[in-house]
Amino acid sequence: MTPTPESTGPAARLDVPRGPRLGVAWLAGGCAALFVAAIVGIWIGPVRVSPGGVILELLDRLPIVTIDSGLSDFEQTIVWDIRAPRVVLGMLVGAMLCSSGATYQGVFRNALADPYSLGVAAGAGLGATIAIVNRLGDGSGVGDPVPLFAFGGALLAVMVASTLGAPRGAPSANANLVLAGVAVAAFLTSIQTYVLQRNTEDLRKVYSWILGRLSTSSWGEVQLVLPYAIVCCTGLLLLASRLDVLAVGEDEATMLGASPAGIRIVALALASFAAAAAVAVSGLIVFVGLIVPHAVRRLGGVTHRRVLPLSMLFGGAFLALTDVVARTIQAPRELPIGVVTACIGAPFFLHILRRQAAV
Amino acid sequence: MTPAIHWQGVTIERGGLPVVRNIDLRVPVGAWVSVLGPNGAGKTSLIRCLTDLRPTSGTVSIDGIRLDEVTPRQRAQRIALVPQHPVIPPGLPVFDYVLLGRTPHQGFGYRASRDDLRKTHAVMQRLELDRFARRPLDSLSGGERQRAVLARAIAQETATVVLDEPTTFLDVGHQYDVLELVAEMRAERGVTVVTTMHDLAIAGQFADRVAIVHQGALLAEGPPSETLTPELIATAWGVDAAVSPDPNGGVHVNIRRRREPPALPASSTSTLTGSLEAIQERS
Repeated sequence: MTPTPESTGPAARLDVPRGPRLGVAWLAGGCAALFVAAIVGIWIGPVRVSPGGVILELLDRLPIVTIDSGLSDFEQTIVWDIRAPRVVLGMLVGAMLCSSGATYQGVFRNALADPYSLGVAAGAGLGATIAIVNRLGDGSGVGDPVPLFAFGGALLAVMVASTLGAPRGAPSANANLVLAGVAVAAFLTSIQTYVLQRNTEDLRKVYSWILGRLSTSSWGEVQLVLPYAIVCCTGLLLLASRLDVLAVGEDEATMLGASPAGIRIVALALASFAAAAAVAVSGLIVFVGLIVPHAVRRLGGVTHRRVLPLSMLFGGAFLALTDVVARTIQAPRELPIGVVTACIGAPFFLHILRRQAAV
Repeated sequence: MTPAIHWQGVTIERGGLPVVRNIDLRVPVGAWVSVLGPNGAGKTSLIRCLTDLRPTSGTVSIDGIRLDEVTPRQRAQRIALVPQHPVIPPGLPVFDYVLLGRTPHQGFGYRASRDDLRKTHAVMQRLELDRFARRPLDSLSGGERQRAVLARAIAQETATVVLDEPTTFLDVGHQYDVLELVAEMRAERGVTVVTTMHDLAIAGQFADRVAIVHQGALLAEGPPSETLTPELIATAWGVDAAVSPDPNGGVHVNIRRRREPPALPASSTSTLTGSLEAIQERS
């Protein structure tokens, strides 16, 4: 006879797995990584500041907390006005790129999908270029049309790449999706180059937007990207359980009562918006959306209820620490952060490609 | 009595050509109906009408409710499907996979309640899958995976379970394991079972009723003793069969070879003999 839930008894109740929820230990680990990355990111720099002073100074900035950090006014300015916004911006960008990458990988059921390989950055660049050369905005300030045009370009790139590389509902467990992304990126970049050549007076403005401002970031940039980060990350976290149903493919998800087409469209829109907003403030940072979600999946589990929040937390920490490497490895000069992520990400990408080819 | 499933005058066309022609088939509540037919007869199209395929004409109803008038969620609360080629998500723990069967019963956020977790656990215990709960689904053997897919369908707690060629890729032992489990689940929970199959011998032993689809039309429908006859088998599949009654109900179907085995060339038998002698000499 089938044991009913009641007949399983208290002893059996202890054995009931908890399901795909995010465990407290992993959540605490992610928060700890973010905290350590923040302290390290603010502490390390050309001007030496004590780590204890950094922690106290950050605590002092919390509401209703008043602590004397012992730092001079000059050190306080360095900690709070120069390094802190840069670290926070890096964390927001990392969280957005990684949640975006994890979502693309889930929707396409392809471990190689990320904002870079799908041509999202190229699409966002083209969208922003069109908005800037037509004097629709300059990319500064909330509600500026430039990020919206970048979002449109990013979404267009994903839609074209996915239509060519991953037919509806089919798993794209090979390089087709990435090859389609490469082709789309090349095509959109060529259009962007053509538009720029016809509008050379806007060259500086466009490249300033594309290359990003992580190195010269202030709280203004943080304020600019924060609404997009909150909307996209919250939206994707709310979609996580739906993305888990998509793991069995669109046909089976339909049989389970889900509406895969709707989930797919909303997820791709949020992921593309997150990636476009990240590109707007940080420029092209490659492979971050691939490395972190993949590592999280290997260590913490494959369900999106775990992968998405952990990718955001560890992605934020990863990019903040990568930025530390980028600005210290050949100090006093800075290396573009994308160079560091590419050095780590390219071998990683090839490793996943080999594994997929072997399946 | 309202049938569990009713295909009413269903015609399905693809590229302007009919693949299913005016089929009228009722599945009584609590019955096990096997839909049989040769490749390309229209079995899968008929089953897909229960999920995402709209017939060109005719209607499909579950428990008297037309499928085109219910939402996917309402449909999934009434009918569970074990697909022929289920997607196996890499790395997904078996428990989380079976828990997906609770999706139609979950609220807006698809959040698993304690009740969902307990019911999933109970189904896994019943199908002896609980020891694999935390193992990745893709690390299981073919037979164990098929059990997990069946467990997901049972966790869905529907009145009807449809299995599309559930024994494909399984060895004969696992084929019988899976079907015996389905039979037990049917007896315990009173569910209606619909299967598509290629194996007439298995269908003859497990199904109460058999529907033979041939060239898109319903050739015969009824108990195995009336439908799995040598004449109808010859018409649908073009093979000779010997049919005898099964003491447990149903029928035994034995397919005979159409022609005498062709004589092997003398050289091949002598080569084989020579090889055996050589092995014996060496050992």
